[in-house]
Amino acid sequence: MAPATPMSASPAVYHAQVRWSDPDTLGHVNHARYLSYFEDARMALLAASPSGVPGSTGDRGCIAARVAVDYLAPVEFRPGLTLRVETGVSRVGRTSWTLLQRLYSPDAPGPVARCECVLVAYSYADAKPRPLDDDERAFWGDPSLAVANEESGAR
Amino acid sequence: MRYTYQCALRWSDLDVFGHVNNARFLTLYEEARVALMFRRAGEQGLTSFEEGVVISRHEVDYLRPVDYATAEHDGARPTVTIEMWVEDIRPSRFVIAYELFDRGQVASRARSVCVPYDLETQRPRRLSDAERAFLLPWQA
Repeated sequence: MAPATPMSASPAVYHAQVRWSDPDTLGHVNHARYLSYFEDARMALLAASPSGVPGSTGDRGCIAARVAVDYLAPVEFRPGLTLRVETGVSRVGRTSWTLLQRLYSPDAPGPVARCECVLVAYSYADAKPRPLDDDERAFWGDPSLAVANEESGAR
Repeated sequence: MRYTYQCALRWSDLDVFGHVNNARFLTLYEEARVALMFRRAGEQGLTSFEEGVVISRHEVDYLRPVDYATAEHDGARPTVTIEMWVEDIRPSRFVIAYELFDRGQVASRARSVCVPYDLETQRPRRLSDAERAFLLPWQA
């Protein structure tokens, strides 16, 4: 089902397979698992970016400094359920940038959760933040990924 | 006949060595099992497995590590391919065997003994005729 209000024209979209072990005894997908769906969507985007997936060959290093999640509607588990994560960028700073993410279920008309994540460009060798490179800034600052800050409920 | 399932890896499946943690393999195998016994069976009108099946034994052999960054990719996500089949059918249990492939190479083999279980009475039960008929084509 299409979202009532698309997050942006062409956000990064990730499809998360919900696992049998994700719901709790109420049959709802457990809230802590949402963080993995958002994380995997970020990793897919990082893999496509010059920053790279942390720990993979040639990655430049980044680390999460903040993750905030608003739960908007429960997700009822069923075998084969796939959730869609849309990811956009609301801010690009000198050493950090902010992602806004929304989670959609095919069983619900609107988003079931939204997430704000601050990523810090980070040198693991020096154990401190590093400035974003120009090509990273260009990737994360691309208008196709831009979303407005006020779309976040996580403040 | 083998059932094939593409299982997406999660970043959180990795341990500090950068490999999918050995314990998570059971979760990946579980996803394949759920897809066959709950989803596929449900599509064929058989929902009794969803009403209760427990595991009485798992065995897993690890042949090579699976790495998130270099795993096979379905275009959107790192994945592994799990092939599974039914190895044995007994009156009140059945055995599922699996092979887990990463980029075409077998990375792990496993086996699960499954027991149909009545959650209300908390007791094992016998396989129904419909369940046996569903499992039979998958028996190697």
